[in-house]
Amino acid sequence: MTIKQLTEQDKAEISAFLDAEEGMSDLMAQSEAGKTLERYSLIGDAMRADDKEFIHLDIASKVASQLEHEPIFADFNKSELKSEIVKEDKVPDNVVAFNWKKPFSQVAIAASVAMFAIVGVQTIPTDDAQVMTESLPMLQTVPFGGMVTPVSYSTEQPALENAASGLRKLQQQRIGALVLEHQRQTRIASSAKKQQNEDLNNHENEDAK
Amino acid sequence: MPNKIMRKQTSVCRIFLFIGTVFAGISAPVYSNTVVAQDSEISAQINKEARPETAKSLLMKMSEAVHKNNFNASFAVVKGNNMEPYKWLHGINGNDELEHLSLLNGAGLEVFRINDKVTYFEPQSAPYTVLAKHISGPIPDVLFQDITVLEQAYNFTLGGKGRIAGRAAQLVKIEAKDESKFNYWLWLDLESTLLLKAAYVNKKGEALEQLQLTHVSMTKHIAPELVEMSKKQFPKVAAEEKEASTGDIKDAQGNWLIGWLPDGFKLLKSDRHNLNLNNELADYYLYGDGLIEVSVFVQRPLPGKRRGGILSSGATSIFVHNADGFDVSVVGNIPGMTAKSIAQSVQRK
Repeated sequence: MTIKQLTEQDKAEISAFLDAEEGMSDLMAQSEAGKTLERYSLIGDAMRADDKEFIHLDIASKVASQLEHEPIFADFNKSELKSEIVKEDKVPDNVVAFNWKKPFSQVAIAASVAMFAIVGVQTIPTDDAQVMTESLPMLQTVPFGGMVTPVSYSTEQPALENAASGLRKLQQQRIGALVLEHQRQTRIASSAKKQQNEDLNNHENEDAK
Repeated sequence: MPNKIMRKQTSVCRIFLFIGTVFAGISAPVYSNTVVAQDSEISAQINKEARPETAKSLLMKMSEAVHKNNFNASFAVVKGNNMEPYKWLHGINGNDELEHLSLLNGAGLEVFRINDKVTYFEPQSAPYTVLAKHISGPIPDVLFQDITVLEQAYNFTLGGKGRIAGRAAQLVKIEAKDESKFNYWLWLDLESTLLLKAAYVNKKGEALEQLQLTHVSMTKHIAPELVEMSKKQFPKVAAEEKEASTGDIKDAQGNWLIGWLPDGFKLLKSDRHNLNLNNELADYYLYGDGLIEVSVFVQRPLPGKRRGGILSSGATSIFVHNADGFDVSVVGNIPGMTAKSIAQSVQRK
């Protein structure tokens, strides 16, 4: 017997057993029912919350297994493997992360940068947008990486699937790439800038002499 | 039968205990990183000078303080309704200056600096090292070096005093001389002159992007993590980046004329390259005024009729302009109107 085969009635029995409303039936004594038992006892623990030691999150084992695959950031030999895993982790809860990486293998998400999913171009700016941007046309966006994002993405999913979405995705990808490139170039340029400043200072010193 | 139940319960409990132990084992080292070494906290040197500080002298003291102290800080960057928490460690180990900046949310970002080598670890690309005296992160790096280069385009003024992160703070404003740029406000610790808070502020005085320290402790000794990290092997400085730091800056393409830029912006870099992320070809121009940088990309237009527009997050504006036969995108910490003016001023030569 597998867990899937447990009927609603079986589950109700397990639940009742854990709430000490009923004795254990033969079914529950079978070890295959263990996982369901575990889940229900967790629910019970959480509801009673009488002994904090005994509230065991079910995700514990998932966390443990994920940590085994956790990228090691200082390990340069495995950088490719690392990005693969990061992407995989993103897939289930983030629709746009998935869309992004589809055409390009190298695309993953940096929470460090402002990244956007363009949901559409607003043709008639609302009053708010007008005030904020001094009547600049506004690309309607969803900021990347906020807590609310998974929900907003899922509600936008049907809209993203329409014919215009391909183009939108392209623009979205391009803007994401531009923001990241800007950041990268800024970092590289800080050495160039330093050089320039030194030159400038030397120049000024010479002038002073 | 009761025995059976008992046995069942104990074994379930055992499983839970095991999982609990694993979970606790995993989380313990994570949390221990954030434990503040309260006992090693020492009071910062007190600046008690008869002469009143000017905004400029305070800024100069801050850039010095950031280099000379061992400190352990946490800060959060708030952009609209999005918040990014960072951990920031700095220390002096013998002759070496070590620094570590770490983004704690999401896929993360790790930046290590050993003297003038800065290595960036990001999820979307292979780690790379650049020659730079400062980490280019959420705090404009000019604030850690010679701020006199800003005098051409900005004024330094003193604001009021206040209490930030539990410490007495002095507001110092770096104010743009015209409206094409944001102002940058900093709140500095009156005792140590360390940065406590900073914000990009628009001409109306509204903060667009804020950075707030939530905790800072100055320590007598360098954090052991920093010493440990400095022993790791980092990628070598890439050849192209070496070139970038010494080569003359030329308009590599000469195809485009950027008609307008705010006062004080100078060309820092120009070339044609494929974007790191999507391999799209772009003619690229990087301008800077010392405090902020602006990127201008000229690319082939995307298929179909797309309207240009503005996109912003915190102080960062992205303006996409669809010109005749080419797309211009401007990215930088500038007001949207400025980005628009720059983008629309680009012409084919």
